[in-house]
Amino acid sequence: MLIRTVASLLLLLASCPAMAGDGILEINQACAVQTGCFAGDLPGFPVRITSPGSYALSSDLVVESGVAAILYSASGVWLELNGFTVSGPNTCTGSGETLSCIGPNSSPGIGCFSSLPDCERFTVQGGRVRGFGSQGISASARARIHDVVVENNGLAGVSVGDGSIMTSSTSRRNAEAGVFLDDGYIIDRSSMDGNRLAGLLVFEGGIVLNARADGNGSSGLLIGDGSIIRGSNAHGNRGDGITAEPGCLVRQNVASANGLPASVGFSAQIRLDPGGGTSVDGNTVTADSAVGLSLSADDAYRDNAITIPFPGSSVFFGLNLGGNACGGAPCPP
Amino acid sequence: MPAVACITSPPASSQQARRPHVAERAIRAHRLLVLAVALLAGSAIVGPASASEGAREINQTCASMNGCFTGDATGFPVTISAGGRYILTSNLVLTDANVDAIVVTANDVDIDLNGFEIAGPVACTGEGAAVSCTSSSATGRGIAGPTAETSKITDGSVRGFAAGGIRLGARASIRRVTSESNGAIGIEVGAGSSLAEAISYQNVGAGVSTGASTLLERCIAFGNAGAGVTAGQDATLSAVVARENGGDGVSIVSGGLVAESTASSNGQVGIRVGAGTHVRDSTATGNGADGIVATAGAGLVGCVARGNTGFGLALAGASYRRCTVTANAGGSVDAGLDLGANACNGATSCP
Repeated sequence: MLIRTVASLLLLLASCPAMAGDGILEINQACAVQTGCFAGDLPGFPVRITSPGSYALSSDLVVESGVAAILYSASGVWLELNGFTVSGPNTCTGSGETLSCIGPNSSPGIGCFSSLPDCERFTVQGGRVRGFGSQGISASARARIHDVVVENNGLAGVSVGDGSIMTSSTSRRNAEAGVFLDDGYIIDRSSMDGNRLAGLLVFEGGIVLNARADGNGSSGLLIGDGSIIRGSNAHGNRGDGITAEPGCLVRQNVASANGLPASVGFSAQIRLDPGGGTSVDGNTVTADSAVGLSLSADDAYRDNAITIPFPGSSVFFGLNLGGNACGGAPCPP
Repeated sequence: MPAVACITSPPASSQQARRPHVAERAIRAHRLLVLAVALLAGSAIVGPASASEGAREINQTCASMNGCFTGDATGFPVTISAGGRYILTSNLVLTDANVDAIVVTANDVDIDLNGFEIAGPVACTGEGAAVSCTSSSATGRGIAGPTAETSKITDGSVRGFAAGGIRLGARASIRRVTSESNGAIGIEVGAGSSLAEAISYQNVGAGVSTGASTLLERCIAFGNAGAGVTAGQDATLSAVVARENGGDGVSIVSGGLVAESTASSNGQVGIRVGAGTHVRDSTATGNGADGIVATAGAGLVGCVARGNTGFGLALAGASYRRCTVTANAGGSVDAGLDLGANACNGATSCP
């Protein structure tokens, strides 16, 4: 009788979800593979999170097949990666337009397995996600992405919905865009390098601060209507350096060595889409080829330093409001 | 480390003396039982040494059953009546729309939401002017501390409360908190407070409402029925996004600074400021009234106003410089003081 009681108690102990401390539920390789990590999660990947709350990794997660590492269906999930790496089996070679990824995996690293309005208010921070066949991290509206490195995934590195914030993160060498953010976003202190398509693709009414896009296979930094981009650096991207839609503010950025050679294509260090009303102020633009600023008639530019060796290629269109230098000479009026 | 109970041998008896092997088995089983119970009890509370050491825990169990600490009675609200550190160790879920989740009556209270949510029973649909929430006349609030000063709230979400998400007094600090789907103001703080990386969405009132001299940086106010951000005098708004709110995007009573902020597709004015406010390097696009409204004594530098239903800039004598104003249905600039380097509809001359 006593032995049975002891055995029952020990079984009960074994079935309790492991706590990382402070009520946070643990996720690690052992529970993911062997037992399931908590209620709603079965043995084997993906780890399925079906309840809002706070979760934390306590080991690396290694997925060796075609499934996702972590899928969630609830809104309000907070995931601390704790410095660990979530890795899939795919590998990538090359960089930018030559990037090629192969492997058996076709799933996201961390993603949603439900539909709107689920999967909102997702937070992930403090770790690495790499080697998956779909997005590295995907989330819907009002996500928070902080201090993560996302690389070598088969689609976008990071893809999130409206009203999201991304800070201090890196998205590199993914086989689609580095980062995709929907309307009303903030992205600060993040880099997007070597992705096969654009480095950063963001929609309307947001703010890009201190971003870097280097060596991406398409344009570096693309911002939608009414957005602000300041303090950012677009260098060596295969397409345009910075592309902005109407009504934006492009201020105090560096755009250099972007684009195809003029003999092959028509790229610009800073390109503004038709529609006008964007202000291009205080930027430094240099290239051995391509165009400096490609604007429309209703866009204004001030105090930019533009160094393009080809005569007449410094600025196309736009309204010169003074203080601009084109290779040391005044820019076109 | 799990608690380990002291293990003592059972008292000898004449029967145990006649059957020593039975007694030994009984002793071993007893020890196993004690150890198993200790491990089981310990597993409910163990973890690696954590940042919560020294912080008082708040969770659904203690809130519902015993009270979480001294001064807190059984049931919601959890009442915090002493300064110090507090940490959530579970989501808090309330079913009564007339009850607050947490009430703060002391100063110097730090609440780490620890990634968890405080969820009330109110449900909302729609965005902007179309926001509609259940239990509209109920009185519950997520975190209620209108007289509490120097409070700090971090890392989590508050949603579904009829009387508002968070209300704190002066010099509050709110970091990485989402307040959404509340029947009144999302986040309301007193003078001298600061918000960083706050998100306020789908609240019936303003997304954020502050007293004087507050600082907002890298915050988003999206889809609220009222204004996105309503700030008191001398507030500083830096890298604030206000989008698709039913009222104004952002407003400051007077003084202060709006810097590197965007106001887009709001129902009323994009950016509204009073005398002495400086607006720099900000955009107002696609709003339902004027793009940027100011009064005499305010100054605009480096702003963009495009595609607004009213004027791009309606300035009542305020100055503007290096602004780009294009395709606003009501006109480009009304009553502004042109200080140069402005562009209006592709021309260097502005009204």
